[in-house]
Amino acid sequence: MTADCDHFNRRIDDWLDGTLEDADRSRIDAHLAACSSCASMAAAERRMATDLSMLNDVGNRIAHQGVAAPPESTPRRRLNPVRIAAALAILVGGGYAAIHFATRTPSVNDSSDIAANVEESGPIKTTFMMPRDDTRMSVRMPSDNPRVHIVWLYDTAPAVAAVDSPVENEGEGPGPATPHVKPS
Amino acid sequence: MTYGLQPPEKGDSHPATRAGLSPQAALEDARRRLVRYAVKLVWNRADAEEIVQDAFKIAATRGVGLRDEHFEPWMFRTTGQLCLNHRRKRRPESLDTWIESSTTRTPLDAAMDVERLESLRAGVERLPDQQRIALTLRCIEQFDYARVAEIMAISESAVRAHVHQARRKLADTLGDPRDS
Repeated sequence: MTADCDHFNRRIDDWLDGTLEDADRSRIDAHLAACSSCASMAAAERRMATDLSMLNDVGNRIAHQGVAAPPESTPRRRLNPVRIAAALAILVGGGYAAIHFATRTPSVNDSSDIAANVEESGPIKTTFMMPRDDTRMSVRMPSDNPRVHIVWLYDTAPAVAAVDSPVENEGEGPGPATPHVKPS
Repeated sequence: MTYGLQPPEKGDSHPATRAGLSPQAALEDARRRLVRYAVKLVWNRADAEEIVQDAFKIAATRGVGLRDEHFEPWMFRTTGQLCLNHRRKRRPESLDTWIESSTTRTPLDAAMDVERLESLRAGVERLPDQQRIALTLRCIEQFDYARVAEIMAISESAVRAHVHQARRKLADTLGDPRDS
């Protein structure tokens, strides 16, 4: 190892930082041009400095995940769990709704106005209708929201009230379907 | 070791509040930078956020606040110390998802980047504490020597020595180019 090699070893950090005096820098540049051993070490040190700054970028990205966008374009296209969940919810919800509508009698028949209102309101981005005979079901699915809202346009509770009401409201004609206390 | 969780001396107001930020904004600003730093030591965002939270708790119990001139160096020192003592709760983030987006080159290049950076990260984790902190602050966070010295509460020349030794040790473990 020559004196120049030793000099480079001592000043390598400043050389990497680019904070060398002109005289030192030109001495090192001249040495690196002549000494292959130091030149390869210099290249490796530069590479490590670049890698460390890449680690910095990666760390900043990890620290900001959820705030800023995570990696924008990944070569491997992954299935988005949110989309899968939304698709499943629609399938399951739709299937359930079909069975539900087929087996139960809706108590509200003129729901079309309500459905139309739902369709037009506010932040809903995607709405599809599932008309069925005299009632409708509306499924709202805002495209940027994993939750799927299924709006049932009839009341399921009166089915119970309908069983009770002939007993409870006997002789009183049509009345509210709320529970009644028998007069003692 | 000079690492201690000693409250800094009371002094002038924090640079951020001098810069016109509200105390709330100044704290949030400091928190973000501390989380960034902690991530580069524990490589997991959730752990890093917990550690920074703990550092703020320690600051609060010791009456350390924005009004202390050395608030931020103290917070960095405390956060670094907590990271070193940290018992990992979660796995460190795998780098591949985070590197892919930064390279527009071939998948092979990306894979080589990941492998190189993973071994570099592992090498940094094996360094002695002071060298690891000095290298992380200087070469990864890229703070200047004066700031690193203030955070570590040691002299600038001591920081230079730590960084130099850390670089040499990394070069040895990752394969000395003079051997190839």
